[in-house]
Amino acid sequence: MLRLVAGRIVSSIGTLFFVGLALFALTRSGPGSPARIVLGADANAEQIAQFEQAHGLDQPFLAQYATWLRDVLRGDFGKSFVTGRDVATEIVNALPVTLSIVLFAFAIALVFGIGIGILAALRPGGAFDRLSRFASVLGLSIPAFWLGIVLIRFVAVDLRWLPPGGYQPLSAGLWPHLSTILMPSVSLAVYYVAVLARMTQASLQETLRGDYVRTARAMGLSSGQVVFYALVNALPPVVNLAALSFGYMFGWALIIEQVFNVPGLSRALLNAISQRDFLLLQGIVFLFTTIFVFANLGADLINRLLDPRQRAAA
Amino acid sequence: MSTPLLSIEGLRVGFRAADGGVIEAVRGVDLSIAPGEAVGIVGESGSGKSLSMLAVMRLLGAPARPTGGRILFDGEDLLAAGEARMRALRGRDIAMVFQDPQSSLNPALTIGRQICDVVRAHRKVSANEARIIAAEALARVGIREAGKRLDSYPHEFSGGMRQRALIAMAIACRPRLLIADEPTTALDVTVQAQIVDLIAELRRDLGLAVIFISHNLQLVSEIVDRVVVMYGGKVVEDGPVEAIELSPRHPYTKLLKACVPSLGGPVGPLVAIEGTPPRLGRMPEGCPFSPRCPRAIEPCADEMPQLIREAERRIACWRPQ
Repeated sequence: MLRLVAGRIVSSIGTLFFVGLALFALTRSGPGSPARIVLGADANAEQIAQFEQAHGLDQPFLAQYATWLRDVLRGDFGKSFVTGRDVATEIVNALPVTLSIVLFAFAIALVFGIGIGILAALRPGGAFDRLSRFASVLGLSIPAFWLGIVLIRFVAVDLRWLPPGGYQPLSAGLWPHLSTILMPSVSLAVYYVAVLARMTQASLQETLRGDYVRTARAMGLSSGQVVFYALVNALPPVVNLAALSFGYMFGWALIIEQVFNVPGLSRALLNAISQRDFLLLQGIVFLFTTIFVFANLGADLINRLLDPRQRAAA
Repeated sequence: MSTPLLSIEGLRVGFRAADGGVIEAVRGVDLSIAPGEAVGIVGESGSGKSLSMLAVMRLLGAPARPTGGRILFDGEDLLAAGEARMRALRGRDIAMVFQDPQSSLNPALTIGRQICDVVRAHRKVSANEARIIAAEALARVGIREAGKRLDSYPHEFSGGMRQRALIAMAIACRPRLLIADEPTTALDVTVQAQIVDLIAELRRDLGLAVIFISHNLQLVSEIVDRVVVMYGGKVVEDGPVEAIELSPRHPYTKLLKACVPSLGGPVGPLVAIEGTPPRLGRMPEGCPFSPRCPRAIEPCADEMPQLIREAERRIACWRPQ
């Protein structure tokens, strides 16, 4: 098991290496030098060359990547071209905001998605199943940003229950914190509640038909235990999907943060893109990639715990 | 004759058809089993044998459901019992093992966990006591180092061992009736014999009544007292195993017997019964076997013969041999 985990971590790092390379190539493929943006339109060629030399932009592509990678491995993501601030510090400041919205949304998605999926699978074709199917289609088709705007309109503007935007850290108190992340998290979560509910429902409905479920019933196990017997076998695809969802949520969180005017990573990322701030851009995207890769690694490991056959295959 | 442990009276099981009608697959089955008795139910696929037993367990899945009759277990009508009552009976008083041991155990849980869950569903015992009972049950079905094997997963067991483990689950709470639905069909021939012997042994040691469902008359004959032959959702012949073996009277029973080549007998071509079993919903008016029966005469196709008691057996045939 331990060797397996180590192997998977090594291959995940390999993935990150190539993703980093692709990312590096993409950031540099766009038109316009960062120098032009930082120094302004009236900078002369000499100044630009000087800037590029100072930031290593005149080096060959692979050399730049090697330098960057070496620094990243030491925890140094470089300094922003524009503000001169440390990229790592910039990220560490904005990350908790995004993270608390995403984590809260992820918790909502897991609890409601899996919960609704289980209830729907218990009575296929029943009232709850049909209602949840309808709600899922709705949840899948409503764009998160639109839901956010609707929530602001009704919950914040009309009812005045929650602030329409902004952010309070947890250190400001639990309720002030929750009141600012509740609507963003719900907007973000709805799609994933629907996705996970559908997957859980389909997977559980399948395993509930299994012979071992019939055995469990023939032995007089309680209905709760019977569902548990089916559920342990139904979860692996749900776990995989949840991990993917967790990764995607960071992407969607950027849009949600814009809607609710939350000072999370989106602001930093959008600034980095518009200003060709390569190092900041790379730092943030690389962080997202790392989260994505490790969420999937986590799903793999959880599934190995759920399925003894996979554990044995290690 | 003592009061029967299980008495099935006029049981009917039907499927709701797409057109709203009901297609009957079990069409009035009468059957009773005395405490400690071993009965074999024999018939081809679709004869209604498994469905009848699933009805006893009240485990018929939609769209099949009992449409008539009574199932008395120890005098209590199971068809009228509530789900909670059935849950208490299943695994504790009546247990059932199924055809495919590969898929009948939960692949994600240890054997021990699965047996312990059954024990704890029916008896108020601690986790440790349940484990001891589970180890005993596993040892009783002939698994060596049972205590250690409790921590094994199903994929670490062979097919025969899995069926043993399932039987251990079934007998852990000492039921009075064990229903085995083709428990050896998915196994190797040598393993089949072992499982049959195991069931015979358990029956002797624990005083279990056993219903052994099979399509193999010869296999069943080795361990049962009585054979019930089903065809087309009906009992066509029922009698002591020796009588059925020596002188089957229903033409279908006779042909079933002829289908299994005997060891040491003359080597001839394998016998097969001509034709196919009747399709559900297309049952003949009369005897369901009449279209395939070599002895069919005038009334056979038009009128169903009654199941008539003749000495120690029952037979439903217009022209028995």
